[in-house]
Amino acid sequence: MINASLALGLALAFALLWVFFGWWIGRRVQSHNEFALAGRNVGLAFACATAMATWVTSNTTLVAPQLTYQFGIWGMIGYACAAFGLLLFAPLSQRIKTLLPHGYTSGDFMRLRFGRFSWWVFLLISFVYAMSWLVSLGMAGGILLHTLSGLDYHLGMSIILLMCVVYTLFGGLKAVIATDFLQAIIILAGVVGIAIVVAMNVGLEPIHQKLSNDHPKLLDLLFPAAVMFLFNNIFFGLGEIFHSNVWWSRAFAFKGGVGKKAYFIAGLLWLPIPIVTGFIALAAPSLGLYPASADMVGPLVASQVLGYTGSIILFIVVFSALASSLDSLLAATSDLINQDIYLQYIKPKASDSERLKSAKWIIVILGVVTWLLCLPKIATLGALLNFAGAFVASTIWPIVFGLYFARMTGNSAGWAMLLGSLSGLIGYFYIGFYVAALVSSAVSLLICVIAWRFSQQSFHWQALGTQSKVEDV
Amino acid sequence: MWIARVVTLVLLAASFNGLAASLRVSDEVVTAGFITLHIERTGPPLQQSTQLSIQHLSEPYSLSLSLQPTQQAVTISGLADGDYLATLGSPSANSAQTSVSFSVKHHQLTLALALFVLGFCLFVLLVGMIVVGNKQTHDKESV
Repeated sequence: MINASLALGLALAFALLWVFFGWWIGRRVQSHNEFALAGRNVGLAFACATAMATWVTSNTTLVAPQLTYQFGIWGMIGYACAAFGLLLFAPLSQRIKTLLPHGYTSGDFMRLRFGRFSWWVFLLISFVYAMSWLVSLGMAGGILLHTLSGLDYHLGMSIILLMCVVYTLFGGLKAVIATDFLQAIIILAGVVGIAIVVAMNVGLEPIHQKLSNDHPKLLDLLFPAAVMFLFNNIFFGLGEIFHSNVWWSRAFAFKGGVGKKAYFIAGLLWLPIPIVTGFIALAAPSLGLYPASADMVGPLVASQVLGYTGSIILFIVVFSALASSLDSLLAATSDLINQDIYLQYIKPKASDSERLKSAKWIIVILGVVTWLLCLPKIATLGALLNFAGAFVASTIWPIVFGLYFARMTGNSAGWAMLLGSLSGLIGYFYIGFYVAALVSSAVSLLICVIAWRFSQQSFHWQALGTQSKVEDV
Repeated sequence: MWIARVVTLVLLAASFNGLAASLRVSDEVVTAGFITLHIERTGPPLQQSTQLSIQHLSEPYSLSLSLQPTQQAVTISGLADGDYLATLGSPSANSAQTSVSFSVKHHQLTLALALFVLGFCLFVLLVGMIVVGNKQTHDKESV
């Protein structure tokens, strides 16, 4: 464990570094287009880094060990399979850029493709998810600092939230992508370093022996809850990426032709990371470490195995991972509210400078609301995130049908998302969090197939491009 | 005589000092093999670690672990089906112990496999739709 004052010093030093970098990158950002979409001109290297770094988050650094600790081998593999979200979004991103060259948000697509009812259901789901993810990231910051240094949970959580709000305010998506690039390098180097040290210090044989004797289900490939969890997690990851404006805004921001390659490379780079972070959780019992809460197992084992210096490295890696996701989510959610609420209902004829100003205010408000929701630690990170799974998985099929199949039109997408989410919630409460996304997705598909089969109309794809151009002007 | 009574009381208090705590489970029946045991301490802060043992009531399974003095909960995972007894405090010492029982009853494997197959089919269908959708749009664009 590192001492609290050093942890506080490190957190403040990194906070200052990222804030200064964000200010430096964003000092020439004048227009809303530059602030929200980095001028729609992001190249392949930055695109890969931001996609990979954003997906390495509390999911991979804290929740992957948690779910490996709870579900064993399947937990680890299931988490790694969340890479399918990035891999399958690669072709979708190209289609999105082609259909909506002037689009800003995922909400734009839903409104123009399926109409207002579906758009409202989609916005509701997006906000539930965005707030769940923001809160889980804020909580993860507090848990990390507390586990590694004993620093108060509320202080750690406040530092990381304040830091991300400030540097996102300075530079918008441009600052977010630039900091993500540096954070991705830190994360990759740190994870590789940790993997080497763990492999050298903890043997596989003692881990296997201890798990076989005392925690047999963790090695059991027919562990029922874990078997259910596998595809649930895949669909949760797919739902997260397919619907979230975090990924759509990047698809709009990347240069033409870059999105497909960037998301594919990022998916491949991300794939082994949960295996590494999840593996260390399996070493916990053989080290005699039993965490108070399952989401603390990763930092607990790493600090024990890696010692003092290792704890500092781990701290920096996880701090970077959390920051890279928090800033992305703040920027993307701000865009969604700005474009889909402010511009549609509050001030439709807002000037560019008014849109820029409102985007910044929304970031501040989101930061404050997240901070308030993080104050009471209401659930474990995994449970909180998987609650959102019931909602996001219902959006997968409407988006895929909406992007590729012209025959599905109108309110059916809204009903698919609504009934899918409700079914997912029933699964969540009656069976467990490990089935919510799968049940939600299955019901949503059923409704989409019925709507597609009996639809008499066909959507004209050109309408998306022309309408989004009119709105942009 | 009263001195002896005082000494006895002091010794008794000392022996109970490490066990001024009670155990509570988050769920009495768990279906995913993991459980969180909450330790509610009422006495002054301890300096030494506390022993927690978990025993299967019908099979020769026993897990013993040592908890940090300030640890207020512990999460155990990977447990097989059965009834368990968790005991806080060393069974060999002459001190009082506090126990709580819980059961692990995993979901039915048939339900799990049915959901696994459902997930697999949905995944294959999704990949197929994206591949077909891309191919169709690519063909139209090239025409």
